[in-house]
Amino acid sequence: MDSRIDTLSVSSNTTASLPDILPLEIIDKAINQQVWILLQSQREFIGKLIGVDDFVNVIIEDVTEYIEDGESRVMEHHGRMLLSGNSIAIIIPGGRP
Amino acid sequence: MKPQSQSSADSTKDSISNDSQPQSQQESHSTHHQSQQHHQSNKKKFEVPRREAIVDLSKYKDSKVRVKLMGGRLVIGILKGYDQLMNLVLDETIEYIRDPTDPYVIQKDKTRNLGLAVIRGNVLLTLSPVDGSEIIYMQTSD
Amino acid sequence: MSSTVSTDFLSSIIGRPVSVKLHSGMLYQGKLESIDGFMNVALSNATEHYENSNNGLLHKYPNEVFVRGTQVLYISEI
Repeated sequence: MDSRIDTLSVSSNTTASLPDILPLEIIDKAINQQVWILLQSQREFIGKLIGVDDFVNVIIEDVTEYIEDGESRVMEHHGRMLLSGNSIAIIIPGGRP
Repeated sequence: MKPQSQSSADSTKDSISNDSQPQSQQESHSTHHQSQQHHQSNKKKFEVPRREAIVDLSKYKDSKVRVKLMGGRLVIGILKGYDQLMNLVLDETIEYIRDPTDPYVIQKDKTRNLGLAVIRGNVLLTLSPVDGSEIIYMQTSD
Repeated sequence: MSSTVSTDFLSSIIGRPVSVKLHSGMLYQGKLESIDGFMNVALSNATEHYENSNNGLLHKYPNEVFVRGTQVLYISEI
């Protein structure tokens, strides 16, 4: 039992010493860059990330809205858009690779 | 812990014997026990440690994980980071393309690259390590 | 919506023409009269389409229309 506790504390120490990558930090760093946002549904958005709030509601600019695997484009939006964080599943900094 | 389980066993015995006896005789007795049991279950609920993730994601760090999301998306990527809300950072992420007519059907051989991706914790359904697991069945697209 | 980003944006687009899309795909275009922290929206002079404003006009709201915030997918400047 003692040895088990030791290994646990050692492993937690090693992870603590590594630079942690926090998801919300990655999103913050993507501000003013292109982002690719996938919703829970088959809808996707690509645009320049302007800002994010605590609920991960997102403001993006000059947005293209896609549906179904990015093959059929639905709409181009000039100007800013507030996208509800409610249905956002995945955020990819740098836009579409 | 011991006296609690003892008393709950008692109360179940009481409720069983209640069934075989006239209700009116035992009524006050049984309500007393029920309220006591109710109180104890409340107390027990507050003893559950909160804000502790039930799975330690650090053991999956830098290894491949398979993540299912609400709405039917399925991705595999290398876990690079996470937070308390189970938001994830995955690298070299791939997503399985789904049947356009049925978003809950994934296709075995159709994937696309997402690269470095942030997965929202509030839409996460399942998370599992890829190593040590194998695909039993997946629909082939043709 | 407590954070500054979205509230700044919301106050800056009041009175302007906007598109509001719901999770269902319904699209409303009109002048943004008012909005709150739940993303409840009031539009005036709105039109209703499905997915895209090029798709046929489904309904016209000459006065005012209220849209429930929980159903709102996005609010976009036109």
